Amino acid sequence: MIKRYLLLAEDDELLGALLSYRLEKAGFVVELARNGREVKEYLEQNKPDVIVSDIMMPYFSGIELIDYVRHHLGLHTPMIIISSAGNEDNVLSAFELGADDFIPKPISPAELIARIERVLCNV
Amino acid sequence: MVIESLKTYQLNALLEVPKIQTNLLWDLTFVFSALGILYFFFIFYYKRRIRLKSELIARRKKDVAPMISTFLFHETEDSKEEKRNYVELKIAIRELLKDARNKEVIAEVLLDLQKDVSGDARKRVYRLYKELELHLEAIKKLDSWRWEIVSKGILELTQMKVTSSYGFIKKFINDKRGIIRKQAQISAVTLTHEGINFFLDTTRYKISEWQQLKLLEVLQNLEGFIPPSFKVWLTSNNRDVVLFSLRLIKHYHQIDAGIAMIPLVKHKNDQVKAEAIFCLKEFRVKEAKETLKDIFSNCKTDIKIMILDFLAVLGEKKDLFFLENIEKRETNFIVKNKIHSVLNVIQPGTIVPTSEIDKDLDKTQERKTQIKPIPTNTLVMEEDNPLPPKENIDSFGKEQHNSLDNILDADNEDEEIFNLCFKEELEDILNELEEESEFTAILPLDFLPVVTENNEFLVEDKAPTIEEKELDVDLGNSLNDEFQEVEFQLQLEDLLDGLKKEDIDDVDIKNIDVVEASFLPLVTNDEIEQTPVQIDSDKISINEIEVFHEPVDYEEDYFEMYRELLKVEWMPVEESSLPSLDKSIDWNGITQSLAPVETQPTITNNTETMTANVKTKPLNSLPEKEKTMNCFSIFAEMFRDSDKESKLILLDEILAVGEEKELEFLNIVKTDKEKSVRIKAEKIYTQLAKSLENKANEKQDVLSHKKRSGVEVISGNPIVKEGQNDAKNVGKLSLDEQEKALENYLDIEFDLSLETQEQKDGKQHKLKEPTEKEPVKKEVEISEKAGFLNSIKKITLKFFNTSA
Repeated sequence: MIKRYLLLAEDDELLGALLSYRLEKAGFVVELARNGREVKEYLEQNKPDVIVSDIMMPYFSGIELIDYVRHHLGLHTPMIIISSAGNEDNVLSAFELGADDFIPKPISPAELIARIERVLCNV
Repeated sequence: MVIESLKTYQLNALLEVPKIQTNLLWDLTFVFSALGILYFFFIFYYKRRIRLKSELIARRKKDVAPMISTFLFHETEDSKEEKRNYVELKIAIRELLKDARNKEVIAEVLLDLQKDVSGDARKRVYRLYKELELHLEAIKKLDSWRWEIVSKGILELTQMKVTSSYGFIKKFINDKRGIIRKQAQISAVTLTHEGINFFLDTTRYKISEWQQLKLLEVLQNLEGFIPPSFKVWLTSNNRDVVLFSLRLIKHYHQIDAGIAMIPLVKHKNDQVKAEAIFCLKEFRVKEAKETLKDIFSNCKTDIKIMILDFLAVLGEKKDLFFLENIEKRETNFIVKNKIHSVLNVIQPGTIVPTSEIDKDLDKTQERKTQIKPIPTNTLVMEEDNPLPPKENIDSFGKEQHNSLDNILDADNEDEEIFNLCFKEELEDILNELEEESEFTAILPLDFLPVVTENNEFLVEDKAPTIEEKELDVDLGNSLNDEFQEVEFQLQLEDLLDGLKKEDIDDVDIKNIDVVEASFLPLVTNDEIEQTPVQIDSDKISINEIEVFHEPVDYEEDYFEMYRELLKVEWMPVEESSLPSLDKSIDWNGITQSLAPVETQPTITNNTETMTANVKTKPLNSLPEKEKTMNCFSIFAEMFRDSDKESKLILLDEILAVGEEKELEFLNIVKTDKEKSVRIKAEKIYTQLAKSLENKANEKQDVLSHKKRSGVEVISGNPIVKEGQNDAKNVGKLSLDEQEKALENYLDIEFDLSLETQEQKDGKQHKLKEPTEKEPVKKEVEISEKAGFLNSIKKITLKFFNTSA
């Protein structure tokens, strides 16, 4: 079975842990980053199959992360954005910069896995 | 004073600074310093404690989080290793839960998680929360005396959907503490579907707008919620419950509650009333219409507007009466406007815009419609004769008329009109008359324009010979003018009466129309006896008001005369003047007198036809157009643009100067929109009729007196000299005598003297020729009087109308 690496950028430890547990259970190798710096450090050394990132993060927002990945690193890694409801502007910006999908909070872990699978299939 | 003030200063000077022991000061300094230090110590201590506690909780959360994740997503299908881990974690959590702090931490973790996750994950959280018996801790909090703990307990139970806690929470619905009460209300409604029923049944406190919104939001998010029939709570004693129920009824479209809402439109509270009306409108409850109409007058503006909105949606034509009634009574601008709009919604075009509408356009249209009644004789003349150039009519008729309208005011209009139009002209005419003493037979009334011109055209059209013209002038005019001259006489008498009374007396314009030809050359005995003057036919013009006598062939002349008679278009005459006219002219006599003279059958037939026409044609059976002329009154035009007060003033004026034609006008005024005008018109009508009747009686008395005394009769009829113009005797005479008799008959004389009635009564009435200068001078004097001016004004206006 092919291992699929997933970078989960979520500042909420509880939710991060929960999602991480659920995604690992779904067969992903999950790397949990708590802020933008950790994400940057990880991306400089690794190339995940898919990135799941919260928009609101310390040091490095999800929008900046997309720009960094797409334009700075030049990667075409599938990216899924997690955002709270009513944050449409950011979501639109994310899509303009190259996000592949979007999932609102509160998150249904099952739905998240389904979206990831779909994004990976498109790739 | 100075000494006293010094004393004061001396006393102040005796004041000394109290001695404070230094040791005490030092002691106090130490005490306050210690207190400060203690204060800061406690601050730092508690701050550190809180920080440590939060760190501990965060650390424990970190520890618990994976455990909870494992518990949440544990499935029976998991591998054995996972199952073994799950059992180990379960034991660990049981150990943790023994510590109250840990319970708190786990509860907090689960509360946070249920916010971030949805779907199945959330349900697992709820389940775990109950499995770990954390809800019992929350229920315990409800017994706390501290409101914040109770509130926290209620919130926790509500968020974790602990439905079993409903019984514990619902007792806080009527809690004295507002926050707990509100939280309990939301919790009760959230936890069970019956919560809303219990809440609406039992709540005694006011339900704020915000709380109502929150409750509505909760109800919207309830899964599988079947709303009860909220009309049950419309009878609640709690006003807010009624209001909230109305909103719920509206939200859930409970149309069956429509009838139950009708009584609420009479609710004392305007908010409830407004909500009820809105619901009734939304649900199209027609049954509420009558109730709403009943309460309309007692409502405030907002409610009135709502009721009108209701009527705009559900109103019918039968409601127009109600709307028109309230429109009359309503003083509020907004409501009135709304009524207008509703009227137009129910029946479009009921109210048309009136403000800022160009009234000149309306006036123009009115004028156009008023031009219609043109006198018949004028029409005939217009048909037969070429009209003067249009430009002249427009420029003279309309512009002059407009300018008069602009200039005139009610008080001085007679003088103004005279000064504007006739003063100079009249002076010129009088000067000419003085200079041309040979034209003594001509009345100084030849400035009256219309008929003379038309006659001229008639003459020119026919292009007659000089002989024909003479006969035409002699016979045609005289016969044609018999009736007109009678009218002229009447008018003159009226004029004289008016002058006598020094009052403004209207001259009957209609009669003046008739007279218009009557001041044309008057044929007197003397003139007939004069030797005829030979004149060039081209120079003949009736405008010149000259009469030419020439011997003519009787056959042709009579034929022409008859033809002219048959063409006679009888002017509409007031009924009052008819009897005298009929009596004065013996039409049978004329026919009989002509019969032996005439030998040709066509002429005889024509004569008979003519007389039959004249006899049988009742003047009051004139066409409608002519009848409308009868009621022409100068007041009509004034009335048209007048307001109510002006109309009332004008009615007074009608009584003062009105004539019989004003009676007809008053009949029209009786149907005026304004009630006061109608009433006054009726009054004036009665008074005017009486005064006119009195005048007529006076005249008749005078005439009868004269008849008895053997004086020539001047009763507004042609003066027929006894034995001279007796038409009945004509047939018995020889041909020459008959001719002479006929000439005499047609020689109708008029009393043109301007003597007053008293003078007339005292003197024998002889036909006075206007050749003397005295009457002319008198006329000049008289013309300055109001009555005469008014007559001129009328004539002018009549002329303008005719020209137009």
